[in-house]
Amino acid sequence: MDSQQQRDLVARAGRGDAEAFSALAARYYRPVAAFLLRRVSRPDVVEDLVQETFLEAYRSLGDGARPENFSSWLFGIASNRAGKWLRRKKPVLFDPDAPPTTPSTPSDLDARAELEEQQHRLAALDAGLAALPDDLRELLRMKHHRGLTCEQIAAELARPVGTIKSLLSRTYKLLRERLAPAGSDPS
Amino acid sequence: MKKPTCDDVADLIDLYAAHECEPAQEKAVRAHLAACADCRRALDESRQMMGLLDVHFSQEAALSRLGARLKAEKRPGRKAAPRVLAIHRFAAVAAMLLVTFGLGVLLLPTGDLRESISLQVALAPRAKPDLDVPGGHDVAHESKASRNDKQAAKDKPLELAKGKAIDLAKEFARGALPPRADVELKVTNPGRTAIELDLGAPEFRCELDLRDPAKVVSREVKNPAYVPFHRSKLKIAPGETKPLRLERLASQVGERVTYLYVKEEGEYELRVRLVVTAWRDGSRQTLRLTAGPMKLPLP
Repeated sequence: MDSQQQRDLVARAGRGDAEAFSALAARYYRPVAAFLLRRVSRPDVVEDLVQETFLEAYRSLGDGARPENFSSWLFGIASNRAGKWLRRKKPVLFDPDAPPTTPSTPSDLDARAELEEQQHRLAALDAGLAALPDDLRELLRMKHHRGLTCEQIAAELARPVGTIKSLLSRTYKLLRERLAPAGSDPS
Repeated sequence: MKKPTCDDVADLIDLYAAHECEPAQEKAVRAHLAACADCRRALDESRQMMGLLDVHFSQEAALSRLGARLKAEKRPGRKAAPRVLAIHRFAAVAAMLLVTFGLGVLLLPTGDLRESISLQVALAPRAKPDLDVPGGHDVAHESKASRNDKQAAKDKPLELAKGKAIDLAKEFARGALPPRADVELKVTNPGRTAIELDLGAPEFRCELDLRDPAKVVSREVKNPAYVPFHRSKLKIAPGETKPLRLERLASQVGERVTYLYVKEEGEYELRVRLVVTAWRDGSRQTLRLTAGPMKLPLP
């Protein structure tokens, strides 16, 4: 999507064209999700925050907002959403015995750098996934798309649970190694 | 399991993050993590990766959900209807709950919120196998069930209604009944002003208090991602009733969230608590609504 196409889509979305906005959402969904994931460190709330981000953007365009740079503007909204979520009082919905995870503290937003960083991470993930044999990719799909446990996957594939766990563990390790350079401190 | 070293934990960290460790391993890893900052950083990296994988594999469905919400939005550019939400009107009338099954109900408004909101609450276990909860299945039963039976069960959702007899034990043996209870709620606004309710997941809390633990299976929530509650805002006009379905009823005791689901037929005490946050111009007020205890006459 070049910048002219993007401007056209933004203008159409501003006139209430939900399909045009959906095209923008399809383009930016993953970078925004990855950005929010980095900020809040809670995979379970990321989808809600992403959806709220895009809905707020859609509403703002409808209210007359005409951002010069759509991606910077969108990441700004996402950053505000993340900040709001981190500040809000919320019930703890995880095992109290689990070790604490400290959400990253929002810093000043550099949207372009954020977009690049998230695209880098996602590209590394895509490359890692593409390099996997089909059966391991399918294993990840069963786990992360269908939400199956190793026991359920083992039953479905008629393989021992230990084998599934071992395959999954190796696959994660491979992917994590791919992601590690992007996940390290850029400084 | 003996005390793990950092190398041992490194080998297990992804399975731990994916909630796939054996209980003994999990306990040992957890104890190690509590004292090891390096391994906690590795865990955070692993969780980031799990999150990216979730995003990657769920993107299509998430975009489809977003598309549906966009379509449901008012067209941008049109002047929005004036917000008639009047939270202070909550201060008008005592709240009331109506609960199906004709059972006792208790409402606990907080502060000076007194606007009338009524809830109708009905327990409605449903078979929704496409929304399986990882770790939520009764594995013992599942292993006995043939895949054909399970497929047949998927095609035939169960609905529990007053007076309708379902052999729960038999259904469990077939693996048909989902390992969770959903709750159908109807929120009625009998007042004279519209209200807007924010029912986002972080604000939502539902408690299921089943008094016969022998007949209840509970599981700790391993991944709060599976406490979904998608509707975030709800506008209810005067006199209007809106249905809600709270999927996968969870109980929160202290800071621990547990899924509870009925395993055997019988009568149970059910208590549902719903925290409803209402917004007006950026400020919010909260109503805490408690329905129950009520007898749940399972056949």
